Amino acid sequence: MLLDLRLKIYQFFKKNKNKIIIFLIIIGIIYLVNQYLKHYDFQAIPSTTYNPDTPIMVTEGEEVPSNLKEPIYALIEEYFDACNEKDYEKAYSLLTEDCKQDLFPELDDFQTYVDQIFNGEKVYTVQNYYNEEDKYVYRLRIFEDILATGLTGEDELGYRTEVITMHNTGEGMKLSVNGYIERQEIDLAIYEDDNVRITIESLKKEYEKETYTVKAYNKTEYQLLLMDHTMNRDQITLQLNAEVRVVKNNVNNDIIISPSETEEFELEFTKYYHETDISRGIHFNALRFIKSFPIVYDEEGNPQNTIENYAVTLNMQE
Amino acid sequence: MNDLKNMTEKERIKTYVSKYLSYIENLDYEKAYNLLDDNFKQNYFKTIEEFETYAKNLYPDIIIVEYEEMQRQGKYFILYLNIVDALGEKETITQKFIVYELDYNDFIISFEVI
Repeated sequence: MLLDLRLKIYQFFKKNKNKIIIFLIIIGIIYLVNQYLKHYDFQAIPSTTYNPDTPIMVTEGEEVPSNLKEPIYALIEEYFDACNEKDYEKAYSLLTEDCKQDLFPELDDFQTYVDQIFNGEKVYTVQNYYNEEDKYVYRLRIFEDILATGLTGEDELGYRTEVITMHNTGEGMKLSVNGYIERQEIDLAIYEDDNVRITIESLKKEYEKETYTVKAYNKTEYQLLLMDHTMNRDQITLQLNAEVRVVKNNVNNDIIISPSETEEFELEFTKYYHETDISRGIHFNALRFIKSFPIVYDEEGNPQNTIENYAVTLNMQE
Repeated sequence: MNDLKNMTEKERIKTYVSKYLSYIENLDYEKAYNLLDDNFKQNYFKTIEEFETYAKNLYPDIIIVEYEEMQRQGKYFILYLNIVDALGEKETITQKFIVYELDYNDFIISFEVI
């Protein structure tokens, strides 16, 4: 019986010799790899609570795609280095065309802006704020090179906050600065009647506000008063889905259109880029056609000597 | 090194400052000097001799560190320390330290020159 068993074992090994050898080789490799991994000192990345890629302005936001992080940081560094070195042309070339046209039509304008911030060698930290479509908004904190100074002579760290936006365009990554995001042309936002034609021409988007360029043509023989600085600012409002925002303009800024004249003016409203509520339209609460100035108001604050007084809304969304 | 890997980030930063101060305590000025930011050295201690003179005058022989506050700006840490003379011979110093960690046990330091 023992002989039979030994014979069977021998036949088993003989029949499966190749498979057994392969199996033993695999076991050997697994063992060696395991030993190697146990003793190899992997370069772990130091743990940190600093997460510059996590958008902090929204609770659940779109993350920066992994393949864009490196180009974004490279561009920020390139821009920052150029500003530190006062290579204005190079820094300027990294901006979007909209940003150049709206904020810095001439290189000199950009130079003034850079010199204001970079009065000495600066360093920065970044933090992602918000991302939407191909735009990635970051907060930069810019301060003196504190490693070089040790904060000698300073009670605490002073810094300047800048909001920049990275644009992933067809021509590569570009950036816009000083809170500027982009300009959009507005179609189909028109109101017209026998007295007036009002159009919203374009929108300048910045991180903290929206500024609309509006054109109004007064068809009548009377003065058209759209905004009276002596009255409540809700004469002109931005209509969102859930709320209304009053116009922010300079407190002394009246908007008056003379008879048969066209005027272009800007209306500024507080609206953060990360807000999800959509701007639906602009409401003009009081189009007042006045016989003559100055306007005289009655006890209820209603303008007298007014030919017509009515409200209109220009819708920007279909 | 493994100790550092088991520490939180804040603990590591404090350890780096302690390491710098222990070099001072042990009169190992060259090692302490080598931890300093290059631009900082250019600004305040162009030579190791200048640094050694400064450190000998300012710091006590035996140092007790009290951490008052720690702030961060991105990857920069700003620590507010009280440096106390354990022997009571020198007055307590309040000094700011800036620490920038590049990797485990690889860091740059500068401090408020007082």
